[in-house]
Amino acid sequence: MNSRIVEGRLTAFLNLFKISRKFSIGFTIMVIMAILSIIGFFNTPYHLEGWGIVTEETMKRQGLPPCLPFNCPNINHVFGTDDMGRDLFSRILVGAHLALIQTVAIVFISIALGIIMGIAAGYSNMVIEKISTYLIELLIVIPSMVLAAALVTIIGRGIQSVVIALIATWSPWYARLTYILVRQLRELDFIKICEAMGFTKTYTIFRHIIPNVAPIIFVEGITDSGSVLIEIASINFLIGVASLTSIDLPDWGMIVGYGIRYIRTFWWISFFPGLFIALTALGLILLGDGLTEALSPWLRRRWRLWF
Amino acid sequence: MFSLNYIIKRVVSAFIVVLGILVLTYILIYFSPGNPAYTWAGRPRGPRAEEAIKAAESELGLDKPLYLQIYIHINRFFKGDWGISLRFKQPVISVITRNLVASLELLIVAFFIAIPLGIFLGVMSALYRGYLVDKVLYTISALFISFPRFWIAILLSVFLQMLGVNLFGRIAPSYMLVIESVSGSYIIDSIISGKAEIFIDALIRILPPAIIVALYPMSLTVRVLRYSLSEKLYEEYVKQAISFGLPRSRVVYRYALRGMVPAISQLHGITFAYSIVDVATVENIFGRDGIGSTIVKAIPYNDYPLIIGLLALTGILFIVVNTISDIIQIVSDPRVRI
Amino acid sequence: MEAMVLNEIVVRARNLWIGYEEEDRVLWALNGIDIDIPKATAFCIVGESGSGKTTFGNAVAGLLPPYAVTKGCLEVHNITVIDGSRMNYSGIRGNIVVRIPQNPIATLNPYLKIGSIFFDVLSQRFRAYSKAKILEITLNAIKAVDLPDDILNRYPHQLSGGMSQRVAIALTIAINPEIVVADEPTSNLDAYLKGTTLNLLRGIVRSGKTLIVITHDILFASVLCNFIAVMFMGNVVEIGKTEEVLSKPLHPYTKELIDAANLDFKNIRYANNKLKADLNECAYASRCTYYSNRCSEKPKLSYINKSHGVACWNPLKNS
Ligand SMILES: Nc1ncnc2c1ncn2[C@@H]1O[C@H](COP(=O)(O)OP(=O)(O)OP(=O)(O)O)[C@@H](O)[C@H]1O
Ligand SMILES: [Mg+2]
Repeated sequence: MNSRIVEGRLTAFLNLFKISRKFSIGFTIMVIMAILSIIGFFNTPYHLEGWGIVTEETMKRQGLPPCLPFNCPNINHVFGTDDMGRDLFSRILVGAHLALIQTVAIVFISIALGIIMGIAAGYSNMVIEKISTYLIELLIVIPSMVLAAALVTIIGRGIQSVVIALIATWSPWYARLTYILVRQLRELDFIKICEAMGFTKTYTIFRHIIPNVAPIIFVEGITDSGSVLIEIASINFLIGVASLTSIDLPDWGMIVGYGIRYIRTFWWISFFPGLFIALTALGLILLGDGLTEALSPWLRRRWRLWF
Repeated sequence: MFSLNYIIKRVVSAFIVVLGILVLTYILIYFSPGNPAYTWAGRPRGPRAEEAIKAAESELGLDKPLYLQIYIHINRFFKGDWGISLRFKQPVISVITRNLVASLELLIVAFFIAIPLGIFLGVMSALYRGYLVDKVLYTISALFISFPRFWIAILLSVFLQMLGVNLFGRIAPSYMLVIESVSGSYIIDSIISGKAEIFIDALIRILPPAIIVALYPMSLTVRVLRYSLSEKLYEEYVKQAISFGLPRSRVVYRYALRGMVPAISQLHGITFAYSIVDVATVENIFGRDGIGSTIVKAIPYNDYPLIIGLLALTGILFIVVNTISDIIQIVSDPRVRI
Repeated sequence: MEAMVLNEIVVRARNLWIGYEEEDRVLWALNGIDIDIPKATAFCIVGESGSGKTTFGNAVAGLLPPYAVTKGCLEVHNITVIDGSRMNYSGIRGNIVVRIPQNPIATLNPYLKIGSIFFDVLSQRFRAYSKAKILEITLNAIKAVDLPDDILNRYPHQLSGGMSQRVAIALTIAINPEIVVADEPTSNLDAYLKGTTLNLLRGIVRSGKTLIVITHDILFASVLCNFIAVMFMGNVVEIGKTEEVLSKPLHPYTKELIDAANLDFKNIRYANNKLKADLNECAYASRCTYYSNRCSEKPKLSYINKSHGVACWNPLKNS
């Protein structure tokens, strides 16, 4: 790739900011979240041991004031502390990368699996098409929340149960979208010509179908990622509610769900992680909307009913 | 009718998917790490563990070949014998139906709020795209989509509590003994037994959670209409209707919006499935019974039979909803002939 | 006769500019045109693709999209509909002006039966009438275009192209407006249907209505219309009675069009149209065989007799 192309891509990217304010806002929010998650990954005010648990020694070593359970937000603990005396701000910072990684992993893997399933259902031999179609139909109706609960009882309460459950339930949507797009493509002349000229299906798939389908699916995926984030958080919320003992894993949804039992008196435990979920999801949705808007100029037109 | 054939075909394929779900649930049981009987018995510990595992083994028929096990599983499912819930010590099927009805009640009330409101606001947004109304509506819907509903529910419940309003539970405890359960939904039961005050109580209690669950489908409708209705208004037939001098409301609702019915039906088929997660979380915050609170109670007890039953039944519910929304999509478009 | 015709003008455009808002500029589709359309005539607008014919037709019918920008003045039936940047079509659409669509299948609501389309449209036009009366008008209109009655029970997708074209014309006849704008009414019909459409449109003119036909088809225009206006790149370059314009074209572009219709391509220069950047130049300059220095200034429409006008510095001399 020569520098001209890179430069062109860069200007196109910078143009996005000029074209769409939504994109700029969403991008800014997401950059801030990414920076927070990187900071949280390496260092947090009260995070040294484990998932934000502060031990006596480390506090002494750092000269930090002692952590008491249920401190309300103050100078030392901007977001307060939870029932174990853990600094909520540190836990939210650590949770940032968990949230982002889970969302990105789910969206990307679902898209990849979805494209594979969709192409299998729309452009392969009869038997595979039939099987894949039924597989998509089947996966589409599986309730993610209950599947996650089942996996939690089998594998345990890590993030992997939720991730697997969501991949299983989001990929069929992309598969269905791919399937529809592939069906449309198959009707077009250039695919028909490829077939008539005796190219193999594999060649056609990689040369023509995937390049045409993938961008559409990706924009869709970016728009969906906000909903994915919230679904992750909701399921983790349920796990948090179900948990009988305090959870070490600083997942935002779980913190909210666990904190719900204290909501009448210690509101901050549930409030601040929820706020971060909301902000991140807002950023993702604005990002997706901005991209859609940039790709379809007529959406940017101001107009009212003229008749 | 032309569509009868299609409906039969659709129902048959739905049935195949139901069988698929049952097989899948069995696979989940069979391939659970360790011994399936151990999982099915809820990972028992203590002196009676041996006994419980033995019982689970014979219940699942683990000594038989795999296809027979699946056959037994499906057979038991259709007979309504889904095992005993470890947490509730009751048959799984009765626990689930009771709670699923409660959740469905909430979900349906939410959609009754969401669809008309979403369509109305979406039309407003599409008609004035780029103007103040639209900007406000866009912002609101983006916020409602991106704010987790459980978080909004927490804020609302704390707010209600500060006002001193107690709307927890599905019904006031004192009414609980008065009403006899016919359908499991207090709204329907109170209508059947003709008790107006219970009806009003149940309705008031369902409103706050239902409004919160309605936020997502409503905002999604607004966004979809905002994007695609203005596109529809450019369709040639809409332009022609304008040229024939039809009044604005007629053009918008009978001409442009009519063309959106299949898309809206499809959209709500999808969001119905998505909203069940919202229902589950919101139920927990408002202290209502339902599948959300069932899951929450089942997880700490490793109540595997209950979760598997829930998986199967919710899956079947989604199949029904999908099938209905597909049929609406087809029937509402006179151009499609099957 | 002629005096009477010229006295009553139903569509009057004065220095009319219409453009479409693009990202950061305005794309002008009509560059200050003047047109007078007399009552009870068939008036034809010809010109190449992109010359702004549809834009003018939509301006008359009130179908400009919301992002259209306007300058100048347009009067329809003595009501000022465009005045500067303001547009006001209340009472015009469906009462005074109706547009006959180019692609009739796409222009009937696919979700309604033909009968309910008729009912929707007519109950709006004739609010005072009873249901029976509306049905009577409907049946008369259907009969006028030679369609069977049972068509009212069908959906648009069950009709052929020619049938739906006739349904559209029947709707227009039933509405009975003063002005009918037909945007390329025959562009995708076969020769026989073209003939029937021609007759139906003639019937509309004969009943005292004004017909504005937009077409590429100069032959069709010559048979149907008494007036013709030739447009090029958003300008009216020639206007006049059909016989006069076609037998004695004054503008080189008109000549080019007529030659093309006669399959005579000897004198045509294939040059790309210039971008519309320079609005002060004659738009045809880059293609014109008779280019002279004066052509860098835009010519005004000037009349050589009462009805025949041309916008050219060096009009052709017809012997
Ligand atoms: N809705 C629109 N938005 C933006 N630009 C438009 C729109 N409609 C037309 N234009 C532009 O206006 C110019 C004139 O278009 P118009 O449709 O009036 O041409 P036309 O003479 O009807 O052409 P044709 O014979 O192909 O139908 C064209 O350059 C076109 O690009
Ligand atoms: Mg045109």
